[in-house]
Amino acid sequence: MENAIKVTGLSKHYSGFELSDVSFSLPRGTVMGFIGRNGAGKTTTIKLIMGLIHKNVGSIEVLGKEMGPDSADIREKIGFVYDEQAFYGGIMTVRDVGKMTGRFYKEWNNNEFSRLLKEFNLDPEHKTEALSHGQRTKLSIALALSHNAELLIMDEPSSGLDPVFRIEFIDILYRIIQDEHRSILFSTHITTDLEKIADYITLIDNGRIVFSEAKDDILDRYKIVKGPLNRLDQKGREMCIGVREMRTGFEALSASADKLAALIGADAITQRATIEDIMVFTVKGETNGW
Amino acid sequence: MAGNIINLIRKDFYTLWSEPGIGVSVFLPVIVLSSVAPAWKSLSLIFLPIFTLSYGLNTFMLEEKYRTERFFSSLAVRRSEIVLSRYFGIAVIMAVHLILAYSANFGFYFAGKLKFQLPPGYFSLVLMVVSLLISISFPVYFKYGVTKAMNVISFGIMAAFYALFFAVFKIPGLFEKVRNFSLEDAYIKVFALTGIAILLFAVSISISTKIYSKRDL
Repeated sequence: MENAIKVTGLSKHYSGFELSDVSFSLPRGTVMGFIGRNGAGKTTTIKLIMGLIHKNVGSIEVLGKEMGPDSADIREKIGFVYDEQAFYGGIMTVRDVGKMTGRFYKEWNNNEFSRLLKEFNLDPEHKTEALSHGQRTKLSIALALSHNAELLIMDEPSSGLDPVFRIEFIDILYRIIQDEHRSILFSTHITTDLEKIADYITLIDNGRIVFSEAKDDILDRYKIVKGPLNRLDQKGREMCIGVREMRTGFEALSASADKLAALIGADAITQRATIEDIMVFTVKGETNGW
Repeated sequence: MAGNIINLIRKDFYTLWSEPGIGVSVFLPVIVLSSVAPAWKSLSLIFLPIFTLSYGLNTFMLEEKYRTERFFSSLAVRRSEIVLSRYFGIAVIMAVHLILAYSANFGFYFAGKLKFQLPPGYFSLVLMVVSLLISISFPVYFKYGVTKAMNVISFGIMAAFYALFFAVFKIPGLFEKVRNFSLEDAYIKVFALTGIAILLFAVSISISTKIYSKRDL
């Protein structure tokens, strides 16, 4: 399958942080959830993919071409939404921002921009400096969706959005990927959004990729096992990716849930893990409650 | 490429004009002073570089204030286009100034209100002074940003002014020489100075492009 993004052996060194040997691929026409805790390296990876910062080692292919700071032709086909939406203040209105941004894209569709503003309940005459964080995110999304982008890269787009619009937003993304040529890389803390829409999940922690796989495979493989703490011996612990110990018992994430449950015995309860469970247990490992 | 550069210049002009206080303080004095420049003779040589520098400084400053650098760099724009738009923006400001200055001079002269015509030397001196200042300050802005570079640049400008005042008082007839040169119709000197100014500008563009292309945003 052709890839929208292919990152291979990517590294970036900062004093105090290192993104190391990051590799993953986003097949065309699919949605990838990019998850990890704050400071794990999500934004750094996205900035590298967008060519905003320079890699030390590795390669980044976007839509079949090597991406760099001067790859304007590739960015023409990318809609980018990031956490820190910045628009000029002063007298610039929502409409002005659209007009100004549209000039940089050959395939800018002003009717689509106006339609999205209406759908998102944004007044075109509203000054950008008076917009709330959620409204700025909506404007950013409208800008990203108005130039027929083949790839949407979104860094925490749903943070700051109210729950009602977040659901609408997921529906919009769902509509977008009905076109099989469009792909989405979506970094978020709100993992419930990904349960609905993602085809692939990539987890990053401490600047390293923990896994990057199809969501269904991950959800099939990992299970939550609960049971009494005194039944969890060393052999059982070795089957766990992360364990949460409580006075009443333990809760663990395991890729060998059936074997672990058999070891615990009749008191074991096995249940489906959510993406959040997988992220939290994988990142935290073994702890006494959290 | 040209389309993006024009759009970036338009964006800089628009945001500068729409920013309360800056639009009036940058554009208006340039236009007004340009119109009366012929009457003030070489005094305008001091004002234009100050206003041109102010334009350059403010475009960088607004970018930092609203943190829009990353926004524009994430659009379908090359880093080199962003650099070129800043230099060409300065060139537009200079061109507006010179056109207005020469037109006003021409008008006043034929109306009998002025007794001299603005010589080509004036054009080359303006170009030279502005090019020198921009060629030094822009690569520093692109490398460190205005906030970090401000102290160095302020110190440089202050030092230049002190040096100028010192030279004017210590070297007899220097001011007269500069002023007379600006009003002198010496074509060889004009071409030489214009050539040096353009060369400085070109070298500075090349340095800034290299610096900005390597910068992490």
